[in-house]
Amino acid sequence: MRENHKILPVILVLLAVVFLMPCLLLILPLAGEPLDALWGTVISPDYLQGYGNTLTLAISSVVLQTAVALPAGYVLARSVSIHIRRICLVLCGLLMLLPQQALMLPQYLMLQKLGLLDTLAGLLLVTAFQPWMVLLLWFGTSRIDREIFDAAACDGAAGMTFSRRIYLPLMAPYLAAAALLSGAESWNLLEQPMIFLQQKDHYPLSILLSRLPEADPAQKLFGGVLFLLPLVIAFGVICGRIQKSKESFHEMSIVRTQKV
Amino acid sequence: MKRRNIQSWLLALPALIALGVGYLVPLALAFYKSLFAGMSTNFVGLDNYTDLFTNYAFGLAVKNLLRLWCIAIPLNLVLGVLLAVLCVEAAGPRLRLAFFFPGILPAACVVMMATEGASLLGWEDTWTFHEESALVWLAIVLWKTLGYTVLICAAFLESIPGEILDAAKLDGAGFWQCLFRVRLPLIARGLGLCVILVIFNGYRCFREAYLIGGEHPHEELYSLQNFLQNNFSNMNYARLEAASILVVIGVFAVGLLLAALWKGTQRRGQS
Repeated sequence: MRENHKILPVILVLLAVVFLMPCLLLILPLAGEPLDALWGTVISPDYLQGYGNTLTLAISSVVLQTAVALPAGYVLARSVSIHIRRICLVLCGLLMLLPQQALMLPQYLMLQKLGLLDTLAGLLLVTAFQPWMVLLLWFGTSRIDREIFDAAACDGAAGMTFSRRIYLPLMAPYLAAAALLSGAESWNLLEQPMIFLQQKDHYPLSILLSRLPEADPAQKLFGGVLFLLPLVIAFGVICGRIQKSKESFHEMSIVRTQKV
Repeated sequence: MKRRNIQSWLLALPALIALGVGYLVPLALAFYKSLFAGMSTNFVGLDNYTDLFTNYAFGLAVKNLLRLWCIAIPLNLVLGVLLAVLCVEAAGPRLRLAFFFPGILPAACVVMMATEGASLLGWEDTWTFHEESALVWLAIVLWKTLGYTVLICAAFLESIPGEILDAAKLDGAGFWQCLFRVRLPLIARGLGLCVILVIFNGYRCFREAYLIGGEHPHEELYSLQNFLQNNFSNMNYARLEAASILVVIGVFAVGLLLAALWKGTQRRGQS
């Protein structure tokens, strides 16, 4: 058993390295190239515009999706009867099993009726409700002790004060995870923009990247790496934050149990 | 009490609106339109649906989807649970994030990697039109969905009290017995969640399939995404509307059935 404990971590680290190996394929071919030769694609107006579109899309959808899902999660966790809660749980699960592809044409028809085709607003509108996000934030809220809510109510904290000082800080790890996942999702959005947007000026980079005019392969790869970079940074930062808040939460609960 | 009710409704309002705009209204509209022929106003009833059943491409897309699930879900669960056990036994909470990372990679970048990898392996450029493309895609799906399973299973495994495992070991249970008799039953709920997430993330991987195979891929790679794209560019809206409604009905029926079965086994497990 003792030996096992020395070997297992090594195996796990090796597995993780093998698992991440394919990412090297994106970087390795760039190794020998001089940096000057790589900029060609990246500074082309198409690429820059696409990058801008992707940024706008990602940021606004993170904000909108969170604004939709957080209150819903709060209500589901706090002030709904168990019967309704169960129905909502099953409904969210079923909606998650629904392929986005099946909804695309119905959504297209509706946007056509509303005259919102080919606009960012239309795209944001149909992706605003994310069932997994409601589930995640609901789970987060239901993990908070009931006593905290009661204590806050006793001390007269309500409305904005309550949410800013108590609820949001407690939810921070869940909100961060939700923001990362939803940001990554909108960063990668492909099929919706492909159908809902018509002008090339509005396309996000996720579409343009696969349709770049016959550029030098190394330049193309470099464009891909730069496209990926913000996601990697966000992943590192947010995972670090979540881990830290988990640890401090853990310490807090230890202190509390010791006091008791 | 009344005030609190109003407050709840107000808080839930954005979600209800978004749910309506994103799902309910479009589906209602599509259902209404699917009863008419083409873009016209000729009422044809269920003709569009019967037409779909004889449509080869739709059948192919559904078949490929089902086959993907039959292969990807079991593989994902087995590998994910084993990795999660390893993570819980042998390492801190940070290392498991490495397995999660591929899940957030953009489709375009993943396809770039696949192309690079294929050229390293010495495959010809036409591999995207051959059977290999389906295998590569399956590998991509597994690669991108495994992290969720590892994270969730590890979290559930960690919540099992150590005493239970110690007791099992004291009774002489080996690693596998511990896994099958003690750990898996205790994390069954988590496994259910993992299945939903595999399916959910599998749909997202259609992007990679589309980018690999293009508009006319090898039959094995033909997915709902291709069906949508091709019929969309042919303006075959009526067929797509019917297909959407059919898929929704199918998914809901299967989902509810599975949920009911699940509830049944849980209840039997309790009693």
